Amino acid sequence: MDVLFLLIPVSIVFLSLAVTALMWSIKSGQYDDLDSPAHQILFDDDDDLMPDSKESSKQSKSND
Amino acid sequence: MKAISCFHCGLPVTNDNFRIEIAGKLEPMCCPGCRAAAQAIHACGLDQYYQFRTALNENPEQISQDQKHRFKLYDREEVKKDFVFETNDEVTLIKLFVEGITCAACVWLIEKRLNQLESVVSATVNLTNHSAQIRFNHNDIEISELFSIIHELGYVPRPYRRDAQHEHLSKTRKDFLTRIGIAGIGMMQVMMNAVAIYIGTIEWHHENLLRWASLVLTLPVIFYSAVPFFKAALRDLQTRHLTMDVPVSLAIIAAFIASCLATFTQSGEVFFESVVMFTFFLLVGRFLEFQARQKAHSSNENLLDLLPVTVHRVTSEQTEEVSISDVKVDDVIQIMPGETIAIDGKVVNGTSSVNESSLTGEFEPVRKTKGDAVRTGSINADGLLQVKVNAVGPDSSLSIMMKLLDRSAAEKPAIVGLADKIASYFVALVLLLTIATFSYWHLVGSEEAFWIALSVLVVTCPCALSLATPVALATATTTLKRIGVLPTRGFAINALAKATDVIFDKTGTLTNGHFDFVKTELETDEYALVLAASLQQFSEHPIAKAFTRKVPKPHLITVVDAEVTQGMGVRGTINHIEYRIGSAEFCSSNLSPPDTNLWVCLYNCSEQKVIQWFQLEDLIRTDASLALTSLTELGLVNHMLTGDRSNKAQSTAEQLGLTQYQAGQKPEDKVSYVSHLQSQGSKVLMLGDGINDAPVLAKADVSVAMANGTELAKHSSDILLLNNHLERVPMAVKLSRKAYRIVAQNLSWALMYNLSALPLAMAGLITPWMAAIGMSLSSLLVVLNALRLNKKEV
Repeated sequence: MDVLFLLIPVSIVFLSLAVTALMWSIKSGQYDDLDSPAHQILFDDDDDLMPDSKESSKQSKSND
Repeated sequence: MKAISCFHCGLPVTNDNFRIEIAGKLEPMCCPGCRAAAQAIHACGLDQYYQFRTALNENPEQISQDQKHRFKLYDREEVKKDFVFETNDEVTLIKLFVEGITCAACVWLIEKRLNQLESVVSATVNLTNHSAQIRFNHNDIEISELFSIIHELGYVPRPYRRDAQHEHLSKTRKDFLTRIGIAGIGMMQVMMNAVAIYIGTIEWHHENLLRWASLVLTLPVIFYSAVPFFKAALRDLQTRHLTMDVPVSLAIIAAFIASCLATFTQSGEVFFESVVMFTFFLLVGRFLEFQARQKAHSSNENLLDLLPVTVHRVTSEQTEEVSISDVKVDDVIQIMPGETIAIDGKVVNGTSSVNESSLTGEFEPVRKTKGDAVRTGSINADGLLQVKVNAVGPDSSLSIMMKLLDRSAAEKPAIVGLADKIASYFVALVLLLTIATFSYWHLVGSEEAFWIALSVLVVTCPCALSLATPVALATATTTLKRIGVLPTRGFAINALAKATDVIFDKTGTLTNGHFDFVKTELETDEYALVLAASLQQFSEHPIAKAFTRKVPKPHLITVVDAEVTQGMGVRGTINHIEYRIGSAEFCSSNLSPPDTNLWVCLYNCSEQKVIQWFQLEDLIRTDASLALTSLTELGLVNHMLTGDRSNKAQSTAEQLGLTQYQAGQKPEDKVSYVSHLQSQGSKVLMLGDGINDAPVLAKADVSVAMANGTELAKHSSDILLLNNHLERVPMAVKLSRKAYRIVAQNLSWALMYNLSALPLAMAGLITPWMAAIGMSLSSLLVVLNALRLNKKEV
């Protein structure tokens, strides 16, 4: 069980990495809009990517 | 006729002439504005939008050439520098605010539409604060075209303003998230350590290690996440007003210090997990409250946005376009029909109807002729006016209104929460008793004195007490939001429960705020309506809008020699027959309307006969009377205050059975009416929509703004009525009262628990684990009780 003396400090190091990542993501604005990304995944707007559907007005530009 | 609602915005369709095909099906539209938006969406192949959306659209305004012209302004170098964020040889990044976004599908629609354009590099829209960032190739497309494209979809784009308040909000939000994130991560890890300790089969040197690890993990939570509570508590102590922040801070600090001591001395118990968990949940609660408040204020519309950036100054020979900041007192300004007046002044030349609704709330235009005063923020409806400037900028009537608003907001009676009141006594009591306990046990020479004193603090840790109010209020807020009532300030629910008097504004609140046909006389002829609308398309008068709303543009007939007589009517020739539409005396000198209501006559001048009489009225909202009855049943007194001077105020009051009403009220009068009621001990709930209502909304104990109201009214209110359904107001009052009852129950339970545990702890009979279980159970009970508010029906 003395491995705990190694593992606990290691876990604290990992946590500080997690906190750094969190602070970076908040600062870069990833949490500015918490509402729309959750819905966006549900929009089936990839018809133009299907092989048999007609081409939409612009083919390659849509970034989904 | 079966009630059909508009496919685009959900308003009732009164004239089923605007069907258009969406996704292979003909869908009804209520007005040309909606139809144009739906058509634009369809034409871009984005029909799926209607399938994705979860909320109906806002009713868009009809796009006019004038509007497009106005967007041209944003192409100017000096105007666009405000919202252009980056630019190089090819690509420019602009930030906009987009009004009218109701759900995630709107974001999808706008992004998709903009990304369809070859010249747009990327476009992202933020649903939370309704802002858009567009990166585009400025050699291929003008900014004004981007504005027009967004506008065509039925949204209103506005340039981003870098104002301090907005920056501050976004910084606060990021701070909150960081604090919550750190508290959350800390909580998870410390809890894991705590489980290991509580299981109890752990060897001592391992437990010691876990304690130290927990201590290290708690440090950032205490010294970063919990700091706002400490700051607030410090402020409370300085102002000698104890709020929940004091016991909260005290509990956090005391438990932390005790746990640290236990860790250093390798004795007693540690409570690090309680400390971080407590901090985390409190922060989440505060964040939710902050978010609700921010949502209501996210739109960046500013009063100054309503004003034109340039005006036409009359010089000796001609007119020149100058920036509004260059206008001085005594300059003469020419105001075109349809323009917003940017100054206060006196008419020196010309006659016109002026719409002062933004200042008075009454949308019926006032006739202005030589010598009359015009005010900033009103709209020139039909004639050309030349105005000599009296006041501009900070001295104008619009700015004065803002000042009035600020003063009213400052004078707003402070409602101190029940919890705060109890807590301030309770906190003082606990502190005294803790000191007494410690002194007693110390004097009798017990070595356990510190630990007993600590368990007094822990057992009375006002967890349940501090949870009692926020949990109930958070649940009530969620439920209110579901029924379309959005509280934007913390005290709104409390104040709503206590309200004794309700004051309604008339125009736009009790009524729809625009004219509609109520009936026609003689035959009902589709052709007569088309004739009427064809003539009325030349007029900007609100009465004319009632006609043009009914008939789609392509159905209109060509009119030759159309001529508008301001405030009277329109004359024109259709198929070689001369027609007039307007007031009775305008059509023919020997005509009189059927009764005293507002009638418009369509007259055939060639045959000298009346074709049709149309009666117009600003209709009372369908749910107004139901709402008033329910409010009376709840024991509230209904009042009506209106700026309207006409007898319509009286007839509206009579139709709704209102006995207490005042007509012809200026904003100042409304404020003094409210303060009079307040001086008699009434708690006033105010509902309004106009800029003129803003001061009184701020003055009332609690105020509700209609969603279609002006931005200023929304800013100064405590609650937003998201769907304009008046009958939600009594529902909200009922729910708030229930919330208030539950808060009271929670508080009495929490107090009872704390007070009965206190003597036991003082006697040294309670060990920390017992205190911990008691604390958790009482908190759980409080939360479960609050969850009863989650039900929609009250």
